This record gives sequence, C-alpha cells and structure tokens, in this order.
Amino acid sequence: MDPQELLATALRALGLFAFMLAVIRVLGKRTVGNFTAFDLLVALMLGEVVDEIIYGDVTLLQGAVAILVIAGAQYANSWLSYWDHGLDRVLEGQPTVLVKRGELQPDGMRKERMNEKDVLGELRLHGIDDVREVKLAVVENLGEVSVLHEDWAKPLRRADLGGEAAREMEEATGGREPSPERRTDSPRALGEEV
Amino acid sequence: MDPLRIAVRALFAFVVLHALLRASGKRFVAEATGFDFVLALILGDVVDDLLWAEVPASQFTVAAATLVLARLGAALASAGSPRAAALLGGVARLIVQDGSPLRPAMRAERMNRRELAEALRREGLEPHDWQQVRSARLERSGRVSVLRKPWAQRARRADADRLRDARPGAQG
Repeated sequence: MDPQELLATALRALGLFAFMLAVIRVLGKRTVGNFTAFDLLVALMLGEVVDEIIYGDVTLLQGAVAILVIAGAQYANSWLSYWDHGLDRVLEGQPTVLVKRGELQPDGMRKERMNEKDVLGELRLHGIDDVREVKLAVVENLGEVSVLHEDWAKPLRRADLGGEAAREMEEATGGREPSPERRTDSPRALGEEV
Repeated sequence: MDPLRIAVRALFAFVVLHALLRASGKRFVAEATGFDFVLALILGDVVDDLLWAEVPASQFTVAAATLVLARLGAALASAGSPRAAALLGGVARLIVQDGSPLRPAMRAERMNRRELAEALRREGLEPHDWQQVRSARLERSGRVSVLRKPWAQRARRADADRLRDARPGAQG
C-alpha cells in the first residue's frame, strides 16, 4: 500500500482518538465508569462507527455526523434520567429486590432469572453464607448486586466499641443510634444463643 | 475466500494486537476507563476489516498502532502533569460532605439522588446511614469513593487494644 495512504490512515486514527476523547469527556464521568444498558449500547455504537472512518470507507464529515448524533442522544439521555420525573425509571430501570429481611424474594429472582444458587453465590461474594444476615440484597441498574446487612450483622465500627467514638456517634445522629451499652438488637434475632 | 488466508490473517492480527497491548502496560486492561473501553471496541472493529481482507495488513497495523500509541501518549502526559491529567480525564468531584449531598456538584455530573443512593448502598450505607459519611467523591474512573467519619470507620485491632488499656485497673 502506498505510504501516502498509510500516513492518511495514521492521521485519521490520531484525529479520531482526540475527537472520541473529547466526546467522552463531555459526556461526563458517569458515562465512563458505570455502564447501564444504555451506556453500553452507546459505547458499542461509537466503537462500531469509528473503524470505517479510520480506513477511509466513509468521509470524515459522515463519520462526525454519526458520532455527534449518538453522543447527542446519550447526552440527552443523561439529563432526562437526571430529572427525577419517573422517566429515569423507564430509561434506566429500577433495582430488583432479591433478599429482604433474610428471606429470598421469588418475584425478584424470577425477574432477574436467578435461582437460589445464583443468589447464594452473589451473597458469598460479599462474604455471607447465612441469608439471615441480609436485610436487603438488590440487583442495581448497573447489574451489580449490593447487600445491606441486618444491623446486628454489620461490620464493627469504632463507635460500636463504646468510648469517645460512641459519644460522637450519639451526637452526630441525634441519639437515633444508641451507644453499644444501650442497644436492643443483637444476634438474638437468629433465635439462638451466640 | 481461502479459509487458510483468513486463519493466517487472524493469527497476524492477534500477534500485532497482543504486542501492542503488552507494550501499552497493564493499566490498559486492569484500570480500563470508559474511554479505554471504547478504544478497545474500536481496536476490535479495526481487526475485522483485516480478517475479511477489506484492508491490507499494513493499513491495519498502522491504524492499530496509531491508536495504541496515542493512548500511550495520553497516559504519559497524564502521569507527567496534573494539568494534562485534569484535561484528559477530568478531576475527582466532591458530591457528599459531612453527610449532606452537594446538589450543584451532583447536577454537574448529572447524578440524581437515586443514583447517589445506589452508589452509597454499594458501600453498605442506607439513606439513614449517610450521617456516617465524611466525604464521597465521584472519581475520575467514574466510581464513587466514600470516606467515613472517624467514629464510623471500621474498628481496628488497635481500637480494641486502646479500649482495653483505658479500662480501669488495666495493666499496661
């Protein structure tokens, strides 16, 4: 292949690198690290368009139009889902509840096509082998499972040891969280002696 | 189309891409940001034109090498100068301070309260636990980092030791 065409390829690749970087910077950090289904689609579409431009199969103008339209749609989507008018739930979905108050939730599990083994596997990834420790486990819009522990199963904080930290906690929470000496919940929730 | 030629071209593409990615360092793979992800997709698409012999091998090599080198250049610039890093990757933005969400910052990142709740839930924090948060930032990678107030930090062995020592009658 003649060197001039190779040089042109390199220049187009370089130009598109800068252009794509600018486009993704403008779209914002949220588009960058967390992929919702729509973000993934946008990334795939953007990636799919670019190779034709680099090889010169389509003109720069055509390529720029395609990229800007896709990016514009994503930009509009980010604002539409920012304004909390219910549309965000349509665009991005809602978290699905898998476990509530230590009990598996068959409806949510069916919705995510997860069986008991799948759910228990996700809990193991959070270091949990007893479902009774789980107050709430949900599948987030980003596809990850997040887990909230029952109060008695939460990791130990400094304030839970009592002393100065516990006083700071009572102050910060306006007494809503009592210091350890006065708490009422405990592993008794398991119904066994611990 | 000769299947053997396709196989040879696929192998060639594999070797070229593998060499380029090895040269560009581990962070391309491990710390991939959204832009890196898009770049990886572009590289993947650049390959298929080679496999179907729509472009010559030389043009493929130039295109892939340019993309990887450009990324390497951007990474070097970011490592060398904080200003370049801010320009290319943005800066971490404070979104929660002392338990209170900062609305203007969240708006600037188009992150609503529901998404903030989701990010904090990943850290095991329910809305009534937000008082525990000293600061939360949307990092350059797009993930939310959370720092807790001292009393809400995870208890360490040293904390138990200190309490034991402070107990009346304890022998040091």
